[in-house]
Amino acid sequence: MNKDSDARIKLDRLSEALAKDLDALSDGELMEEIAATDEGRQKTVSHMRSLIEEAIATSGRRRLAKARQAYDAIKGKARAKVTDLPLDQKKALVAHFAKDPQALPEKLTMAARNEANSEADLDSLLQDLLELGVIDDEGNPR
Amino acid sequence: MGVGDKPQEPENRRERSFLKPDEFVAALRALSETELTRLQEKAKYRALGSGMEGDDLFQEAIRRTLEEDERRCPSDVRVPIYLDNAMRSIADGERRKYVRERPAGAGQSDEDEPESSLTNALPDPAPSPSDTALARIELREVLEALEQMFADDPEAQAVIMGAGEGWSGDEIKDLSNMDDKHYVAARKRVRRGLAKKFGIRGRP
Repeated sequence: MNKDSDARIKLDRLSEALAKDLDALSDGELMEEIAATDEGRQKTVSHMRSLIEEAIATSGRRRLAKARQAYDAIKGKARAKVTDLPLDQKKALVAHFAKDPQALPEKLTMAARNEANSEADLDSLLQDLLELGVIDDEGNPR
Repeated sequence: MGVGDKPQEPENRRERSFLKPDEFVAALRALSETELTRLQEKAKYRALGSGMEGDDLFQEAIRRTLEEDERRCPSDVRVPIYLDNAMRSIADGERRKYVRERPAGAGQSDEDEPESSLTNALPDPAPSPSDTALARIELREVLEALEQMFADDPEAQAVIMGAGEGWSGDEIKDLSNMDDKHYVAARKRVRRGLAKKFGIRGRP
């Protein structure tokens, strides 16, 4: 065991002993030792409550960012192949489903038949078809 | 046992339940004034030598519980106790990481496992916000600084050295010729001194 490692264990033991000391104090003794005045007590409590709220908020933001990243990764990966097809090919694909709707939900069939579709609309429609499993990620009908 | 009765599952084999994140958050918001005060003090002690401030350590324990699947608060453990153990585990993980990341040429050993905490939490392997470069203050210097702080108070020094060695209160008293009253007062001086001096990054 080297000296730092030995010190690590000693620090852990010391912190444990001191924490246990605090547990042995009654609420009254604790307040007398740490926050004897009402003002000091309020300051401590309000500080700790703000630390809690800050940690909760940070955690919420991190989780959201992580979820967004995962969502974008999935969407981006799927979108890359289908929507990278030439515009003519995309139009032809959509036209194919407009003529032969088969298992397409009515809403999608209507969208496919709408001739005023922009390229963004076509991409969105292809993305929907992909998610429904009607086409694969390269645009081939399944 | 009657016919058709199911055998009782042994206590230790029952699946342990954990607080869901919203339950944990509600429990945090419901902590009492004394629980919060106790936790603030404990965070300062737990942070000793970790390179983190007590406040950061406290927040890190909350964040990791809310963000990491493997760190959850058991339903049958009180939240203040859980948080204290989480802080102990994170702080020890930080010190352990420091020992691992010492400059090349420094010897190290993994044989010295920390003493188990109430929940037997493992030292934390996850990366933390502490700055490794700043953290490279040798841990023994922290101990030496602690002893130096009480250079003119042999009873307080005995408390620090004895607690570090894992001695019981009776052993510390016997070996340093302290009665109960002096011993309690010495421990109080140590607690107050550390909380005051070691608030920053858990190091002097």
